[in-house]
Amino acid sequence: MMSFERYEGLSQRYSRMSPFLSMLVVFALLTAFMVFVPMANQSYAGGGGWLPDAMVQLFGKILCFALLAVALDLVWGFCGILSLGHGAFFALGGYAISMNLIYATADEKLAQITDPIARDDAVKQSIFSVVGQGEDPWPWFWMLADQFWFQAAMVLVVPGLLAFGFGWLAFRSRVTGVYLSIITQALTLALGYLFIMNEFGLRGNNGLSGLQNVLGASMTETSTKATLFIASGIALMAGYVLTLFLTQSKFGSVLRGIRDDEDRIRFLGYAVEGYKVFAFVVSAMMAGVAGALFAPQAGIINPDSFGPLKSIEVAVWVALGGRGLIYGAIVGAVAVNLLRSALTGGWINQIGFGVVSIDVSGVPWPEFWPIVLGLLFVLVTLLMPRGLMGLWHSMLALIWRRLLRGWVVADADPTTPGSGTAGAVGQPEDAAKAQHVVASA
Amino acid sequence: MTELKSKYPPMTLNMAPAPEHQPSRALSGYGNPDLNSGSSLLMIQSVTVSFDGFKALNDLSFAVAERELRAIIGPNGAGKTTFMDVVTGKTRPDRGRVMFGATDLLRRTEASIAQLGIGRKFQRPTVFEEQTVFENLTLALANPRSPSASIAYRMSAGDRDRIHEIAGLIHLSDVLDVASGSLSHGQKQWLEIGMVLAQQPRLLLVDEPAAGMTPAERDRTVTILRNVAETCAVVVIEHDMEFVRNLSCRVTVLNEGMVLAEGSMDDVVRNEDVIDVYLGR
Amino acid sequence: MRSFLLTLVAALLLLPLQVKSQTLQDIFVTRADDLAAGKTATVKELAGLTAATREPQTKAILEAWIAGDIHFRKSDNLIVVVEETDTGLSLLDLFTGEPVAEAEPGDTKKVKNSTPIKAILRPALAALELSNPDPAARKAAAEQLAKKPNEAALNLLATALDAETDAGARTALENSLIIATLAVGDDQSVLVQLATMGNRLEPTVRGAVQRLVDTPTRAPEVVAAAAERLDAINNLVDLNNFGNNLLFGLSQASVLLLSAIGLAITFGVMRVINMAHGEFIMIGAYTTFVVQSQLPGMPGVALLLSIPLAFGLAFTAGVILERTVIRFLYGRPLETLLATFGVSLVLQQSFRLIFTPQNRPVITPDWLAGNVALNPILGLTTPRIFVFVVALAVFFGLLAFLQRSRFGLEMRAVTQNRPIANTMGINSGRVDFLTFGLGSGIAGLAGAVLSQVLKINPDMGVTLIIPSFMVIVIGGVGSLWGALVGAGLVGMATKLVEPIFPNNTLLATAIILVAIIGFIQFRPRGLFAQKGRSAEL
Repeated sequence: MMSFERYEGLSQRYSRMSPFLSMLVVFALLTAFMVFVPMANQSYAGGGGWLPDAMVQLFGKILCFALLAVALDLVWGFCGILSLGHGAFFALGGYAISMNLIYATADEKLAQITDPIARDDAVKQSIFSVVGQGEDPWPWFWMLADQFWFQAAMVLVVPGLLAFGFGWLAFRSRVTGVYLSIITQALTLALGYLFIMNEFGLRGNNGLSGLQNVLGASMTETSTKATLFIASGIALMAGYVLTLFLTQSKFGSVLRGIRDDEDRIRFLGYAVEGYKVFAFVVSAMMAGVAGALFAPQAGIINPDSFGPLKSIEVAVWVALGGRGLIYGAIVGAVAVNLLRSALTGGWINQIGFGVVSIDVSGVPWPEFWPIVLGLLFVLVTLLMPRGLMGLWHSMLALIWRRLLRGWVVADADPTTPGSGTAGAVGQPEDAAKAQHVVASA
Repeated sequence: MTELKSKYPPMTLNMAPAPEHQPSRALSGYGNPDLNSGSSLLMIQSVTVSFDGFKALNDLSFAVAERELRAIIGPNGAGKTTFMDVVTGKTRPDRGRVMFGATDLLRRTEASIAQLGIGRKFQRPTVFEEQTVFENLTLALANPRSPSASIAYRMSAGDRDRIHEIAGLIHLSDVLDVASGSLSHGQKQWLEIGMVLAQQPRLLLVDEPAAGMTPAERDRTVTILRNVAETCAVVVIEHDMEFVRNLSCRVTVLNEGMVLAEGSMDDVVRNEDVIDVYLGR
Repeated sequence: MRSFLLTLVAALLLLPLQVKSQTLQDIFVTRADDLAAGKTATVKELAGLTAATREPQTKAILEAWIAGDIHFRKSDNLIVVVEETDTGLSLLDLFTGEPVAEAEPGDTKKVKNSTPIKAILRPALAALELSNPDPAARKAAAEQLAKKPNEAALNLLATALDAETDAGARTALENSLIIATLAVGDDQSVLVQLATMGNRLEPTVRGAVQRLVDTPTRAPEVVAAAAERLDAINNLVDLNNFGNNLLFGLSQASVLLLSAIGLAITFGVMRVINMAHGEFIMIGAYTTFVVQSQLPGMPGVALLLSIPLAFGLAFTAGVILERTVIRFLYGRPLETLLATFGVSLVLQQSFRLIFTPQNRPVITPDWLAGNVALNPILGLTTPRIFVFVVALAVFFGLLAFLQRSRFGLEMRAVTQNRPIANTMGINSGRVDFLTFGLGSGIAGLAGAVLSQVLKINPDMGVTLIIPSFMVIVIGGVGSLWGALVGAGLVGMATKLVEPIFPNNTLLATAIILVAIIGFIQFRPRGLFAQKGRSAEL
């Protein structure tokens, strides 16, 4: 049996796992998943396993969404910046890499043209004829599209630059809160308008499609699909590590201070703008990477990805899973996207509540999904402000406080005066409150 | 005047960090202000602040010297908090000058003013509730403030000692790992004082430190402030007359945005204007 | 030799007005077979002959022929006027208009009235119409004559102009005279005309001048004078186009104002973000559609009924939203944003499922149709003027209501200091949902009115919400006047930027959005920001 104070100390420490431990748990799960899927699909043996190829791609895409959610969690969950325009960074990353993919695909198809200049021209025609611009010269930013590594670098540079420019302008003028969120919406809307224009040089509404050739490998091969899936998982882990590193350092402490009381952090001498821009740029780059891995797995990237709704949906993933935890964002993204696939893909034919089950196979889910999503928005914000992981932690805290305490603590009566050092933790109610704050924060 | 009966051993507060831990000026931006303008550390000259016609500060002028402990009192709306807002950069005055040593404060942001060595403790405790006492103090320590410095920061032994030292001073040594949101109100006030101390300011502005404290806590706070004033200038805004009296320092009385009277506590409480306006008969 | 003779005969036969006058009897009875046979050349000749007759029925016959109502009965080539009945066709006598027989649709065939034939008939009709008692008919006749100007037309027009008293008809006659002179007049009269015509904006007049400039065979001084006049006209046109853009900008501003003013209340006064605001406007618009479809044939009444109905529906929806969702999220603006966005999604998709994603047609009542034109370029459609008037009325009405009424006072009290308002006996909870209802109701009203100028579809809310927020952001949160100015600025800016990119309205919108983001740098709190310590969002 232990003393009350020791119990409180331990329970504060263990109501929630240390962030590093959580990361290891997530990584273990992810790695297992990344091994399981290709095996179940027999991806590296030409496919044919019981897991369909489409599922491999679906899981890969969901992992990209998870990375996007982690990127948003960095700026929202830890810094309080609710960006409703992260879809723009995602889309920019997707476009950047797709410029190379579409070039490489066309280039491969036209390999019989041996003259490089003629082939380049033929590639241009094949890419742009769909918008009637086959005869026009290449737009300037396509100049190095045939270089994979250049475009890969652009996946980081373009979203990063945009985030830097926008963030510097916005944060320097101390635009915060709702204003900022609305303006990020305006940003992604404006970008979408630009990309829809054929004259912009990215095929307008058609987007970049037919993305087959990924660094020489073809997307039609199951091995390529599996590799991209694994790459998405690795990218997610890398993003996790980066975010964890940033948020566990003093930098993270400052970010959380900005989130909780921006003025106070200023009065401590920290130039808030610099921190926000830094976090925003890192987040944008992560989102860009997510988009770049997503595009080949989806086979297409188009201006729809700039849609305001898409960006807001990312916020709901993070809110549902639980903000400020990193793994919460992953849980939220996976849950919502799996649910969507399950409903619109017809996996779920019955919703059962024990005895009663409702046959929902006749429901036209693709049309109902936005309604489900909208209701999810409302319910999550009203009823689950701490998200799924928050609920989980509250449950754990409950177990510690109620169930285990009676067995473990020597002096089970918590109202003994004078327990603990004078004025330290104060009354047991304070301790309980402390626990609650720690466990559910 | 009641004798202060402290249960606690007398404290020596070593405000100046040990030489090897002096933050490098080049990195930290904690430059020392140029002090060649005579004895004043903080000089307010003819500062006027109006909000939509209402004059919160009306041609206010006074000065605070190095390592001086000063109390500011006055009725509600006298401009006490607005004065702090002006000094720390939260509010821009319409007219006037605010000099910190030879440095003009008016063009600077809150962060850069804080980096010059002005610390502020707010009326209601504004500690970071979700973070532990230890983390709060780490944030406040006088280390480089840039984002890259924060990412690269590793807790040194010297910093750790410093945190423990301050924690001891503010009686929070036992709760360093507790989330500060769960401290009592008085403890939060002390934590905040500890945080401003960790900043190693040259001027400390304290806004109503005694609010919400028990009498024992108040006594302790007086002692802390008196000790702090041995190393840096401290300006205290307060309503609690006994607290102010216990501080045993020079008192400035503000009224309607101007200085009404200034002097020792005894002088001030006998001043006719002060009695009329504030203390009552 | 033989071919030469044939050509001569044909030429003689083709010259109208040179042949001895015929009567309508001669044409339509005696030569009925030729009309029925339908050879273009012959029918043209007969058309010319008809045009030359001056009998009372000439006008009616010309009109009927142009309209394609003159048929011949296949059995005996009898020429008649046909009228459709429920059972088939009724054949009317050509000269008296009395019914003479019944027929089935296949029994008759139209007497040829192809374009070359109409080219003869129309000017003839126009010439006759120049003496019609109705000034509108005279005006139309004048315009018609300008289409194929010739000497005869010129003389007709000049004569008619001298006698004309009606202002509208005079202008039309002047214009047509100018056009005709420029087309067929001699150099002297053309020069005179160019000097005295003034800068007319009608596109047809401008076209006539342009043709002069483009005709290299005319005398150099004529071409030069024409070029000069063309320049002057073009400058005036540009000026008027600019003016028109301004007018359109004002109209756009009024659309924005109506959309944003409800938001100014919920966001500005209550600090509540309602992303479903656009959908409340949509509710109002669809209300008009539904009411109109329930009252077919009475679009005007339906519109007037739907305005208060839309207000009521949206008001109720707003109150429900406030009580069920928003009330629990006060003080958490970011969550309110997300939750209301969810509501917006649900509403959008529901309407999409109920009403289909297609645009729904809304009928403009007669008293609202048409446009008000100051000159051929400068003008606004009447619905837009209606929207403009309503927007201002709503704005000033709301302003007065907030400043003068008891409720307005309570509303302002609660937003400035809720606890004190409570202690003074104001039921702040009730004020909350009533205020939110008011803002939403105005959105519904806006939707009903805007149905006259916007396309109605489930996406209309989405296109309105961001610009509405931008208006509030520019104007300053908490200020109704700010919303007015903001709407004015954004509306004008959009319409002035759009013509620069004629193929791309989206680019213009994108530019405006970026400009607004830039604007925030200098005025983060908007133009009419609240000052003081309680001004934090």
